[in-house]
Amino acid sequence: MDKLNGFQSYFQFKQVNWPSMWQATFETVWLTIVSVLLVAILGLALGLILYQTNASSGRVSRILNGIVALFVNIFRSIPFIILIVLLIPLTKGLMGTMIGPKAAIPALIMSAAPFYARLVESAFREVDDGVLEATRSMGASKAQIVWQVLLPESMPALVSGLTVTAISLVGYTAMAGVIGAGGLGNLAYQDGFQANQNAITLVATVIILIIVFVCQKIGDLVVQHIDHR
Amino acid sequence: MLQLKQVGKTFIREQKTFAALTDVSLNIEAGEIYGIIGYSGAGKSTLMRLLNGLEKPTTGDVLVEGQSIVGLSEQAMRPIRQKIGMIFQHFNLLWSKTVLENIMLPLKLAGVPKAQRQAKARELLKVVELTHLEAAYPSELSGGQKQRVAIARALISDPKILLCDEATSALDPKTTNSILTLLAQINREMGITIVLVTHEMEAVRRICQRIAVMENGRLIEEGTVHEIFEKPKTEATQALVAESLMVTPSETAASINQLLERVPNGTIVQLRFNEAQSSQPVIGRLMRQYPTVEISVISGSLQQTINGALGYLYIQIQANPSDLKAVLAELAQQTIEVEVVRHG
Ligand SMILES: Nc1ncnc2c1ncn2[C@@H]1O[C@H](COP(=O)(O)OP(=O)(O)OP(=O)(O)O)[C@@H](O)[C@H]1O
Ligand SMILES: [Mg+2]
Repeated sequence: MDKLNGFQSYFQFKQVNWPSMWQATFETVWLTIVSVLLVAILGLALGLILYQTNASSGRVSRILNGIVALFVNIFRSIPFIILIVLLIPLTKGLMGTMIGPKAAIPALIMSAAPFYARLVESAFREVDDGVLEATRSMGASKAQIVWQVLLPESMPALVSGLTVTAISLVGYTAMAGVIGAGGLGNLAYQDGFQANQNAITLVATVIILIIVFVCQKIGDLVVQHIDHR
Repeated sequence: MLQLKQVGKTFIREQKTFAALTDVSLNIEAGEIYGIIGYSGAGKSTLMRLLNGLEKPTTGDVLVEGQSIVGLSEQAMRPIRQKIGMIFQHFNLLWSKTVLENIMLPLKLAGVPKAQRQAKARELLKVVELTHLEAAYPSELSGGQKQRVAIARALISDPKILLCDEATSALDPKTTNSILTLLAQINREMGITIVLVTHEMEAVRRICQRIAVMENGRLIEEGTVHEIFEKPKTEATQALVAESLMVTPSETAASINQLLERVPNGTIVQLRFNEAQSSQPVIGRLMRQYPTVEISVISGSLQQTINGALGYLYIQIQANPSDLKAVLAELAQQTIEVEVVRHG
């Protein structure tokens, strides 16, 4: 392959191996969807714990709050690229492999779930106190308040928070690709950068942008549909 | 029905204890409308929250239908709370649910099957006159409509008691009137005991039988509406009464009830009018125009206010439905406000 330089190099589209491009796109989308789902579940759970234990003055809840808050703050602060390296032994144990999309999942979750948990916590705190009091005055149990009031009343904030999280997850999957987790990041790095085929990098970039825009659009549409405020 | 016995409530604020309620005792009888009035910060909402156990007293006892609720767990409180409806100043509806879903919520929490919930909710929508809005979301409603939804929601679990915390404070005078009329109707027709907390003397005057006045966490005066209005003992009460006399007058529940007893049949309408309108011969003209309609004046008065004279008149109308409608429409054009106190 002749080495092209300069601006023109971006447009040598015959360099692009489309089947492998679609394969990589598929991997990125798959990885994003799976990790968004897992992050949503874990983030909601952690966010709910943070919310429920924050107001309470009981000893147990204060300790639980401290532990979860510490976990969340630490993992939210570690740069993703370092976290993925840090978690290599754990990933090997958990997933049995260090290569392929699956290998990126633990690091993706560990870094995005705490981020989302904080968004969930603040979404819950935005719920009107008066509405919570009204529900309590109807004789609702704690679990009923969560399912019937807290979740529906904070749904737009939960969805837009998840949209933001999903978009950063797309970015993270690309980063994970660099260290061998497949997907568009991997392709852009190996075939694009290392083999100096800039057209591949450009196409991968455009596809990632499209994925991000689609995420944003879906999120916006859902919020628009469910927000009756 | 509801009793407070030497109740005290202290909060800890910035490491200092603060007495929100001190030595409050009162006894609310079944079937009455009981007003609790006082300025902001007097402890009214705190007292209200003790009555359904949302807050526990620091000292003293709270009894609901003779049963002490002070020692009860949150779990044990739940069935009691279902028998006590509550409405609020800011309505506290769920924006994420439709009007119908909001009203059904208490029954959903109680595990009542959907078909039954819906039937009950639709019934109550009729009572609060919002049938056409069942699929609307709260954000599409006016303040008065929201409070009507909140009232329907509070009534759906067939409560024996309805607690109203500043239920009309966010509403304009006209809407306030219609909500108060609705509350009086609920009390009369369903026999529900109502506790009305407010800082507006006018509201308690219109529908309450007895009033308690609160100041700085203490209950400083208690009595019938007449006692409090005619001979307010404390300075705070005098101030509240004086304030309310600045407001346009209307009848108290007691005298409306007397009136309803005195005139057992026909539609009873309250008319409000100003100086200019009072000189027009509206009623005479209506009687000529609709010969089969009988209109008689039951009571009325003209009072001086800062905005000039304001009058009100209670009339009894006996007519067939279509004539009645026409007469009411005419009256609505000629007066400030027409309120049907009782349908004939
Ligand atoms: N949870 C709480 N913690 C600390 N202080 C409280 C709490 N709830 C109420 N208070 C205090 O108790 C006092 C009485 O409050 P409350 O809400 O009962 O007054 P209110 O008469 O209902 O006033 P408003 O007319 O403004 O509603 C206030 O000084 C308030 O700051
Ligand atoms: Mg209050």
